[in-house]
Amino acid sequence: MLVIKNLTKIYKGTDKGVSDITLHVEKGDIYAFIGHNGAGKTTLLKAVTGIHGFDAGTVEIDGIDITKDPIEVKRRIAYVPDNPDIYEFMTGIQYLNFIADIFGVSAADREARIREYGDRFEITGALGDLISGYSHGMKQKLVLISALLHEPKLLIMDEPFVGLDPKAAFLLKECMHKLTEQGCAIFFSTHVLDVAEKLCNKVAIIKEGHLIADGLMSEVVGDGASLESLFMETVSEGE
Amino acid sequence: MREFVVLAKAEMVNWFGRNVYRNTKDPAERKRRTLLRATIAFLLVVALGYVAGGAYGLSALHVGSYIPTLYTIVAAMVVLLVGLITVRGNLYREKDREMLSALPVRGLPIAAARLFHMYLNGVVAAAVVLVPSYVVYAVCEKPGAAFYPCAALSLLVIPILPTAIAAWVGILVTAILSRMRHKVLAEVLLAILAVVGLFVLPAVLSGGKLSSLSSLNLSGGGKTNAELTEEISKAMADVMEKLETSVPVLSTWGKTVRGNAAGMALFGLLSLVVFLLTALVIGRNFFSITAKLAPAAVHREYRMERLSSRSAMSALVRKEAKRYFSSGVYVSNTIIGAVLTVVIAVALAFVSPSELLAKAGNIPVNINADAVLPFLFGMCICMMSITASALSMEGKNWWIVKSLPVDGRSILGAKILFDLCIWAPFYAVTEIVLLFTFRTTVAGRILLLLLPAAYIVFAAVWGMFCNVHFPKFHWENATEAVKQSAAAGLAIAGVLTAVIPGVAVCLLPEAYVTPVSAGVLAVLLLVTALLYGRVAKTNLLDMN
Repeated sequence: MLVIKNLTKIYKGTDKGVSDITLHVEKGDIYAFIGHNGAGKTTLLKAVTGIHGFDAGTVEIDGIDITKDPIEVKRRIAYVPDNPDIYEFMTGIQYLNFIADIFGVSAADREARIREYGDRFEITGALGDLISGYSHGMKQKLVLISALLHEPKLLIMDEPFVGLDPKAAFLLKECMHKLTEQGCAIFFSTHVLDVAEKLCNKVAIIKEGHLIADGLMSEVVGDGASLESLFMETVSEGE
Repeated sequence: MREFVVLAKAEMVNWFGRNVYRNTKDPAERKRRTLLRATIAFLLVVALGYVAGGAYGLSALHVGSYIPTLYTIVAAMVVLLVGLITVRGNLYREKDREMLSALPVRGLPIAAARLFHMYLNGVVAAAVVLVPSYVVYAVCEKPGAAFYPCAALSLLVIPILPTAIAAWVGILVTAILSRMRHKVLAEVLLAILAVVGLFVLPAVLSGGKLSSLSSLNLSGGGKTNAELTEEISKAMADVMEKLETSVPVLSTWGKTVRGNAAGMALFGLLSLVVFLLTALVIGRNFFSITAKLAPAAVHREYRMERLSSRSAMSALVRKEAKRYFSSGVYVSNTIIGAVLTVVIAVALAFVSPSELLAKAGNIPVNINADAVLPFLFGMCICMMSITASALSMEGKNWWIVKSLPVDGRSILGAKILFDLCIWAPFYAVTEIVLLFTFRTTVAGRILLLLLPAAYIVFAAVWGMFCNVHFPKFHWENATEAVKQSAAAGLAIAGVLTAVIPGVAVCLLPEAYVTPVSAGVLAVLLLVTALLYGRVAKTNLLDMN
């Protein structure tokens, strides 16, 4: 579903970014992407979603090269950023309608999905309010719903559990499982290592812009160890 | 005092963006900021030249002795205006309210530091007006030595009182707006009233004392320039004398700024007392005031209703509309010109530009006022471009647009389309009024229809072109994106430059007006098409 080959993105005038990243996310995967602050997680996610360009390498989603047909790629994915900065001048329902219009979701489908996810995340009653009055968690829920409206084939999320209350976090995990059962792939960054370990079948660890481990969770972590101890070990190496 | 110093330092650390400029590691950001600085420097030079030119004009008309009186009043009004524009984003800004509330600092030093910031902005604004006018006054009028300490002192003293007044008006306006349902509409109406007030106020305050100027007889056929100048000088001196007689405080103020250092110091002291009292009262109640001024979120339980779908372009244009009408600063900054254009068009329905010039008397050069009309209307409607800030206004929401499955051409096209939708009704009303009331040839009518429309389209595309090249996504207050960006400044400069041919046309003999105007129209359309071609090829991925 997502094939990243030798991707390099260095910010101009700095040495920060990611270098020579190769990664495969397959249909049905829940793929965790972990690393310390500033390691390059968000940079990679933004390059993959077409928000940032990149200097070298290729990104293919569902067999389409993002540099050749970015619009078609964006139709198939959804992105949830680390900070839910969304249009505060709109009401929740206006924002969802806007996203649904852009993705060409029919009136009947959007109605059904907004009803379903709105009720599940307990936000339906607030959809008529301006987003400027929403809490961080409510904005995060709204972004999640907007990401699910067009039934993406690949869901890319940057720290999706930040700001969610325990019930919403549980619902998100449930949603993630359901989506992957339907054939969706999920690639997300997180600092919550125990959640990643329990939830994901694959993991990648990034350090200072370089991928230092990736693959099946069971293989990367190994027997008897935990993702947390492995992470501490790998990121501490060479320090 | 220590708290005040620490907070004032924090307030001033990024004064005019110098901290970001000094520390940014992003070459593109540095380039953008360098251009912004160059634009500000250019506008500053223009402003200084304009003020100096005005002061020199007064001196040439032999009323140079009034330069300090007039320009100190102008400076105070400018400081007041700057204060009023920035007070909400400065003194009563909400962004760091919660952070400051959590710190062990009282409201007084916070309010004092913010007022001090506003005061320093005022000093800069006052200096732009006072320094060139004082220089002209010193060179042309050769005042006594007592003027110089007074002038220096006035630079620091004059901004104090207007800053304090702006603080109080800011509370009042924000309090009114925060309780209104349609606060953007109210904000725009207040801004329009303020602008119209600026035009009307001088006439009201003068109480008809300016009639000497309007009754000037400049149409006496055989008068030389020297005689005309002499007449204007006498009339202006007469107006100033009458004003000083009827408003005694003006006379006292004039004497003070011309060389009464003690008087200026006393005025400074009184202003300072008012300023400190303002800081004290606002500071003591700072947190309660800012909490009350913060907009309250209104919750109404939403029930799912039937939804309908639209095209992506329609969704993008509607989104632009929602953003535009959610920002009072954005609307009021761009729409006032268009409103005034309609007002002027209606006024011209009763008096044509040619008649206006005829009433003014014999002008040494033959001006074809009717020919300039299409250029002027085109410019006035769209001078403050919406598109020049449309991209910058995306701000921290820019990621949404970049992640949508829509190409750059559609995103930028929607912004241009929305801009045209806003100007369309103003254009239509102006054209209807003019076409029904303005007598001209068929070709003249066609140009009256096409030229303003071409300028509107040019301004929309040019504004987008400027914003694409100089976006400003990182802002704390919409004012920064709408009023203080390189793109906004360049957009205005571009429209003003594009209207220069209009000035040339009005100086041409009648026979040349139509073909030259048509030529200008063709060139304008060609430039617009070329600019649009460049805009449509923009790669949004490179913009951060």
